[in-house]
Amino acid sequence: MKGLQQKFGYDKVAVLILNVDGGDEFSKPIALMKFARKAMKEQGVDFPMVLLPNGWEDASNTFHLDGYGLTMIGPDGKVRAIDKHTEELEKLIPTVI
Amino acid sequence: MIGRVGKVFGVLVIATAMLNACSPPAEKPVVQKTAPSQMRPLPIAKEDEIIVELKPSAAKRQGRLTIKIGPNGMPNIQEPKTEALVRGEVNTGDETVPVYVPAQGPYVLKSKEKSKFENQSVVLSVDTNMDGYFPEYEMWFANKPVRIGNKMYNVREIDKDGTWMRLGRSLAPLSGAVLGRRAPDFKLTTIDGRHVSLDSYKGKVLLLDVWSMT
Repeated sequence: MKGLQQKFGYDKVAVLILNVDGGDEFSKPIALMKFARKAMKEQGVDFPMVLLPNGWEDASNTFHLDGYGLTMIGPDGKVRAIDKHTEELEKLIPTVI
Repeated sequence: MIGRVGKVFGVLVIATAMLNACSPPAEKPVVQKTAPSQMRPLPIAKEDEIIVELKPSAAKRQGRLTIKIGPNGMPNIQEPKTEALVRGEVNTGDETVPVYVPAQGPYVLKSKEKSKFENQSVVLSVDTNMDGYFPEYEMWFANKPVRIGNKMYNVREIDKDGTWMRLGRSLAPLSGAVLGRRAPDFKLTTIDGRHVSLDSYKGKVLLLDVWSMT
Protein backbone atom coordinates (compact mmCIF):
# COMPACT_ATOMS: atom_id res chain seq x y z
CA MET A 1 0.00 0.00 0.00
CA LYS A 2 2.92 2.28 0.68
CA GLY A 3 4.05 1.54 -2.86
CA LEU A 4 0.67 2.59 -4.24
CA GLN A 5 0.82 5.84 -2.34
CA GLN A 6 4.33 6.51 -3.58
CA LYS A 7 3.38 5.68 -7.15
CA PHE A 8 0.19 7.68 -7.38
CA GLY A 9 0.86 10.31 -4.78
CA TYR A 10 0.06 10.65 -1.10
CA ASP A 11 -2.40 13.37 -1.98
CA LYS A 12 -4.33 11.01 -4.24
CA VAL A 13 -4.27 7.70 -2.36
CA ALA A 14 -5.09 7.39 1.33
CA VAL A 15 -5.01 4.32 3.52
CA LEU A 16 -7.11 3.57 6.59
CA ILE A 17 -6.58 0.46 8.67
CA LEU A 18 -9.59 -1.11 10.36
CA ASN A 19 -8.31 -3.07 13.32
CA VAL A 20 -10.61 -5.94 14.27
CA ASP A 21 -8.83 -7.11 17.42
CA GLY A 22 -11.55 -5.56 19.58
CA GLY A 23 -14.29 -7.64 21.11
CA ASP A 24 -13.73 -10.85 23.01
CA GLU A 25 -9.97 -10.71 23.31
CA PHE A 26 -9.75 -7.04 24.21
CA SER A 27 -12.83 -6.09 26.17
CA LYS A 28 -11.27 -2.82 27.36
CA PRO A 29 -10.53 -0.21 24.69
CA ILE A 30 -7.50 1.04 26.62
CA ALA A 31 -5.92 -2.40 26.61
CA LEU A 32 -6.55 -2.70 22.90
CA MET A 33 -5.09 0.72 22.20
CA LYS A 34 -1.95 -0.03 24.15
CA PHE A 35 -1.53 -3.31 22.35
CA ALA A 36 -2.16 -1.77 18.93
CA ARG A 37 0.31 1.08 19.47
CA LYS A 38 2.97 -1.37 20.58
CA ALA A 39 2.30 -3.71 17.65
CA MET A 40 2.35 -0.87 15.14
CA LYS A 41 5.71 0.32 16.46
CA GLU A 42 7.18 -3.16 16.38
CA GLN A 43 5.91 -3.84 12.88
CA GLY A 44 6.79 -0.42 11.52
CA VAL A 45 3.21 0.44 10.60
CA ASP A 46 2.51 4.13 10.20
CA PHE A 47 -0.86 4.11 8.44
CA PRO A 48 -3.77 5.69 10.24
CA MET A 49 -5.54 2.98 12.19
CA VAL A 50 -8.95 2.88 13.83
CA LEU A 51 -9.81 0.36 16.47
CA LEU A 52 -13.23 -1.17 15.96
CA PRO A 53 -14.46 -1.75 19.52
CA ASN A 54 -16.36 -4.91 18.63
CA GLY A 55 -13.88 -6.19 16.11
CA TRP A 56 -15.35 -8.18 13.27
CA GLU A 57 -18.90 -7.39 14.34
CA ASP A 58 -18.31 -3.69 13.65
CA ALA A 59 -16.51 -4.42 10.40
CA SER A 60 -19.46 -6.53 9.35
CA ASN A 61 -22.24 -4.22 10.55
CA THR A 62 -20.84 -1.03 9.05
CA PHE A 63 -18.89 -2.10 6.03
CA HIS A 64 -20.26 -5.60 5.48
CA LEU A 65 -16.69 -6.84 5.51
CA ASP A 66 -16.15 -10.35 6.78
CA GLY A 67 -12.60 -11.04 5.76
CA TYR A 68 -9.19 -9.59 5.09
CA GLY A 69 -8.48 -7.86 1.82
CA LEU A 70 -8.53 -4.34 0.49
CA THR A 71 -11.63 -2.34 -0.29
CA MET A 72 -11.19 0.65 -2.54
CA ILE A 73 -13.44 3.69 -2.35
CA GLY A 74 -13.16 6.14 -5.21
CA PRO A 75 -12.80 9.93 -4.98
CA ASP A 76 -16.57 10.18 -5.42
CA GLY A 77 -17.25 8.04 -2.36
CA LYS A 78 -18.36 5.01 -4.35
CA VAL A 79 -17.02 1.54 -3.74
CA ARG A 80 -14.78 0.61 -6.66
CA ALA A 81 -13.27 -2.66 -5.54
CA ILE A 82 -13.79 -5.22 -2.82
CA ASP A 83 -11.40 -7.84 -1.53
CA LYS A 84 -8.56 -7.06 -3.90
CA HIS A 85 -4.79 -7.32 -3.66
CA THR A 86 -2.45 -4.40 -4.19
CA GLU A 87 -1.45 -5.73 -7.62
CA GLU A 88 -5.06 -5.57 -8.80
CA LEU A 89 -5.55 -2.15 -7.29
CA GLU A 90 -2.47 -0.84 -9.08
CA LYS A 91 -4.37 -1.35 -12.33
CA LEU A 92 -7.65 -0.03 -10.98
CA ILE A 93 -6.49 3.18 -9.33
CA PRO A 94 -5.59 5.01 -12.58
CA THR A 95 -9.13 4.42 -13.82
CA VAL A 96 -10.69 6.31 -10.93
CA ILE A 97 -8.19 9.08 -10.21
CA MET B 1 -86.28 -74.16 7.17
CA ILE B 2 -84.96 -71.35 9.22
CA GLY B 3 -81.75 -73.28 9.74
CA ARG B 4 -81.26 -73.76 6.02
CA VAL B 5 -81.98 -70.08 5.35
CA GLY B 6 -79.54 -69.19 8.06
CA LYS B 7 -76.86 -71.39 6.55
CA VAL B 8 -77.41 -69.94 3.07
CA PHE B 9 -77.33 -66.43 4.47
CA GLY B 10 -74.16 -67.20 6.35
CA VAL B 11 -72.51 -68.59 3.22
CA LEU B 12 -73.59 -65.54 1.28
CA VAL B 13 -72.07 -63.23 3.90
CA ILE B 14 -68.81 -65.14 3.91
CA ALA B 15 -68.72 -65.24 0.11
CA THR B 16 -69.33 -61.51 -0.09
CA ALA B 17 -66.54 -60.85 2.38
CA MET B 18 -64.18 -63.04 0.39
CA LEU B 19 -65.08 -61.27 -2.83
CA ASN B 20 -64.49 -57.89 -1.23
CA ALA B 21 -61.10 -59.03 -0.04
CA CYS B 22 -60.10 -60.13 -3.51
CA SER B 23 -61.51 -57.22 -5.51
CA PRO B 24 -59.36 -54.18 -6.13
CA PRO B 25 -59.92 -51.24 -3.77
CA ALA B 26 -62.20 -48.51 -4.93
CA GLU B 27 -60.33 -45.77 -6.73
CA LYS B 28 -59.59 -42.75 -4.61
CA PRO B 29 -60.61 -39.42 -6.03
CA VAL B 30 -57.68 -37.72 -7.82
CA VAL B 31 -56.56 -34.49 -6.18
CA GLN B 32 -55.14 -32.09 -8.68
CA LYS B 33 -51.96 -30.70 -7.13
CA THR B 34 -51.36 -27.04 -7.84
CA ALA B 35 -48.20 -25.00 -7.30
CA PRO B 36 -48.04 -23.41 -3.85
CA SER B 37 -48.25 -19.91 -5.31
CA GLN B 38 -51.53 -20.83 -6.93
CA MET B 39 -52.94 -22.12 -3.71
CA ARG B 40 -52.50 -19.01 -1.60
CA PRO B 41 -52.62 -15.39 -2.62
CA LEU B 42 -49.82 -13.07 -1.57
CA PRO B 43 -50.34 -11.48 1.83
CA ILE B 44 -51.30 -7.85 2.08
CA ALA B 45 -48.44 -5.51 2.92
CA LYS B 46 -48.75 -3.14 5.84
CA GLU B 47 -47.95 0.54 5.39
CA ASP B 48 -44.17 0.32 5.72
CA GLU B 49 -43.79 -3.08 4.13
CA ILE B 50 -43.07 -4.65 0.80
CA ILE B 51 -44.29 -8.10 -0.17
CA VAL B 52 -41.88 -9.66 -2.61
CA GLU B 53 -43.12 -12.58 -4.64
CA LEU B 54 -40.47 -15.25 -5.01
CA LYS B 55 -40.38 -17.38 -8.13
CA PRO B 56 -38.30 -20.37 -9.17
CA SER B 57 -35.13 -19.47 -11.00
CA ALA B 58 -32.21 -21.20 -12.65
CA ALA B 59 -29.83 -19.49 -10.26
CA LYS B 60 -27.72 -21.44 -7.82
CA ARG B 61 -25.06 -20.51 -5.36
CA GLN B 62 -22.53 -22.14 -3.17
CA GLY B 63 -23.90 -22.55 0.30
CA ARG B 64 -22.12 -21.27 3.36
CA LEU B 65 -19.47 -22.93 5.36
CA THR B 66 -21.00 -23.04 8.80
CA ILE B 67 -19.67 -24.13 12.13
CA LYS B 68 -21.84 -25.62 14.84
CA ILE B 69 -20.58 -26.23 18.32
CA GLY B 70 -21.35 -29.79 19.30
CA PRO B 71 -22.53 -30.98 22.73
CA ASN B 72 -18.94 -31.77 23.62
CA GLY B 73 -17.92 -28.20 22.83
CA MET B 74 -16.00 -29.18 19.72
CA PRO B 75 -16.67 -27.30 16.48
CA ASN B 76 -18.43 -29.26 13.78
CA ILE B 77 -17.77 -27.88 10.30
CA GLN B 78 -20.72 -28.15 7.94
CA GLU B 79 -19.51 -28.42 4.37
CA PRO B 80 -21.20 -26.01 1.94
CA LYS B 81 -23.64 -27.42 -0.56
CA THR B 82 -24.84 -25.90 -3.82
CA GLU B 83 -28.32 -24.52 -3.30
CA ALA B 84 -31.05 -23.67 -5.77
CA LEU B 85 -32.50 -20.19 -5.43
CA VAL B 86 -35.81 -18.48 -5.86
CA ARG B 87 -35.88 -14.95 -7.14
CA GLY B 88 -37.77 -11.86 -6.21
CA GLU B 89 -37.62 -8.25 -7.33
CA VAL B 90 -37.56 -5.50 -4.75
CA ASN B 91 -38.79 -2.12 -5.89
CA THR B 92 -37.04 0.36 -3.63
CA GLY B 93 -38.73 3.35 -5.21
CA ASP B 94 -35.52 4.31 -7.01
CA GLU B 95 -34.79 1.02 -8.70
CA THR B 96 -35.74 -2.63 -8.89
CA VAL B 97 -33.17 -5.01 -7.49
CA PRO B 98 -33.21 -8.81 -7.81
CA VAL B 99 -32.94 -10.66 -4.52
CA TYR B 100 -32.46 -14.38 -4.13
CA VAL B 101 -33.13 -16.76 -1.25
CA PRO B 102 -32.75 -20.53 -1.06
CA ALA B 103 -35.55 -22.43 -2.75
CA GLN B 104 -35.82 -24.71 0.27
CA GLY B 105 -36.34 -23.69 3.84
CA PRO B 106 -36.33 -23.57 6.75
CA TYR B 107 -36.10 -19.81 6.65
CA VAL B 108 -34.56 -18.90 9.96
CA LEU B 109 -34.71 -15.18 10.59
CA LYS B 110 -33.11 -14.99 14.00
CA SER B 111 -29.70 -15.98 15.23
CA LYS B 112 -27.82 -14.97 18.33
CA GLU B 113 -24.44 -15.97 17.00
CA LYS B 114 -22.23 -13.10 15.93
CA SER B 115 -19.75 -14.98 13.82
CA LYS B 116 -20.68 -15.39 10.17
CA PHE B 117 -19.79 -19.07 10.43
CA GLU B 118 -22.21 -19.65 13.27
CA ASN B 119 -25.00 -17.37 12.14
CA GLN B 120 -27.93 -19.67 11.49
CA SER B 121 -30.21 -17.17 9.78
CA VAL B 122 -31.01 -17.50 6.10
CA VAL B 123 -28.79 -15.63 3.65
CA LEU B 124 -30.17 -13.31 1.00
CA SER B 125 -28.19 -12.65 -2.15
CA VAL B 126 -28.79 -9.11 -3.30
CA ASP B 127 -27.66 -8.86 -6.91
CA THR B 128 -27.33 -5.08 -7.01
CA ASN B 129 -25.19 -5.05 -10.15
CA MET B 130 -27.45 -7.66 -11.76
CA ASP B 131 -24.62 -9.69 -13.12
CA GLY B 132 -26.05 -13.01 -12.03
CA TYR B 133 -23.13 -13.74 -9.74
CA PHE B 134 -23.43 -13.96 -5.99
CA PRO B 135 -20.11 -13.13 -4.35
CA GLU B 136 -19.82 -13.01 -0.61
CA TYR B 137 -20.20 -9.24 -0.44
CA GLU B 138 -23.66 -9.56 -1.98
CA MET B 139 -24.76 -11.99 0.73
CA TRP B 140 -26.71 -10.66 3.70
CA PHE B 141 -27.91 -12.45 6.80
CA ALA B 142 -31.63 -12.14 7.36
CA ASN B 143 -31.23 -11.47 11.10
CA LYS B 144 -29.56 -8.12 10.32
CA PRO B 145 -30.58 -5.13 8.22
CA VAL B 146 -30.12 -5.87 4.53
CA ARG B 147 -28.95 -3.30 2.03
CA ILE B 148 -31.00 -3.43 -1.17
CA GLY B 149 -29.93 -0.77 -3.62
CA ASN B 150 -29.37 2.32 -1.51
CA LYS B 151 -31.83 1.50 1.25
CA MET B 152 -31.87 -0.74 4.31
CA TYR B 153 -34.56 -3.33 4.98
CA ASN B 154 -35.45 -5.82 7.66
CA VAL B 155 -36.60 -9.27 6.67
CA ARG B 156 -39.79 -9.77 8.64
CA GLU B 157 -41.08 -13.00 7.20
CA ILE B 158 -40.41 -15.56 4.52
CA ASP B 159 -43.18 -17.93 3.55
CA LYS B 160 -42.33 -21.49 4.51
CA ASP B 161 -42.66 -22.60 0.89
CA GLY B 162 -40.37 -19.83 -0.32
CA THR B 163 -43.06 -18.13 -2.40
CA TRP B 164 -42.96 -14.68 -0.87
CA MET B 165 -41.01 -12.51 1.49
CA ARG B 166 -42.10 -9.64 3.72
CA LEU B 167 -39.66 -6.73 4.04
CA GLY B 168 -39.88 -3.65 6.18
CA ARG B 169 -37.87 -0.45 5.91
CA SER B 170 -35.08 -0.41 8.45
CA LEU B 171 -34.01 2.63 10.44
CA ALA B 172 -30.43 1.37 10.43
CA PRO B 173 -27.96 3.70 8.71
CA LEU B 174 -26.89 2.73 5.23
CA SER B 175 -24.24 0.08 5.56
CA GLY B 176 -22.27 -2.26 3.43
CA ALA B 177 -19.57 -1.90 0.80
CA VAL B 178 -21.54 -2.53 -2.38
CA LEU B 179 -19.66 -2.38 -5.66
CA GLY B 180 -20.52 0.75 -7.63
CA ARG B 181 -22.55 2.26 -4.83
CA ARG B 182 -21.84 4.95 -2.29
CA ALA B 183 -19.81 3.61 0.61
CA PRO B 184 -21.44 3.77 4.04
CA ASP B 185 -20.82 6.94 6.00
CA PHE B 186 -18.50 6.38 8.90
CA LYS B 187 -17.09 8.54 11.67
CA LEU B 188 -14.17 7.00 13.46
CA THR B 189 -11.23 8.11 15.55
CA THR B 190 -7.76 6.90 14.76
CA ILE B 191 -5.39 5.55 17.34
CA ASP B 192 -3.55 8.87 17.36
CA GLY B 193 -6.71 10.84 17.98
CA ARG B 194 -7.62 11.98 14.47
CA HIS B 195 -11.29 12.09 13.53
CA VAL B 196 -11.95 10.58 10.12
CA SER B 197 -15.09 10.14 8.06
CA LEU B 198 -16.00 9.21 4.52
CA ASP B 199 -16.11 12.91 3.66
CA SER B 200 -12.55 13.32 4.95
CA TYR B 201 -11.38 11.39 1.93
CA LYS B 202 -13.42 13.15 -0.69
CA GLY B 203 -11.38 13.58 -3.87
CA LYS B 204 -8.98 10.79 -2.93
CA VAL B 205 -8.86 7.07 -3.43
CA LEU B 206 -9.29 5.45 -0.03
CA LEU B 207 -7.95 1.99 0.63
CA LEU B 208 -9.69 0.34 3.57
CA ASP B 209 -7.67 -2.52 4.95
CA VAL B 210 -8.87 -4.91 7.62
CA TRP B 211 -6.10 -5.92 10.00
CA SER B 212 -5.64 -8.06 13.00
CA MET B 213 -2.47 -7.85 15.01
CA THR B 214 -3.09 -10.87 17.22
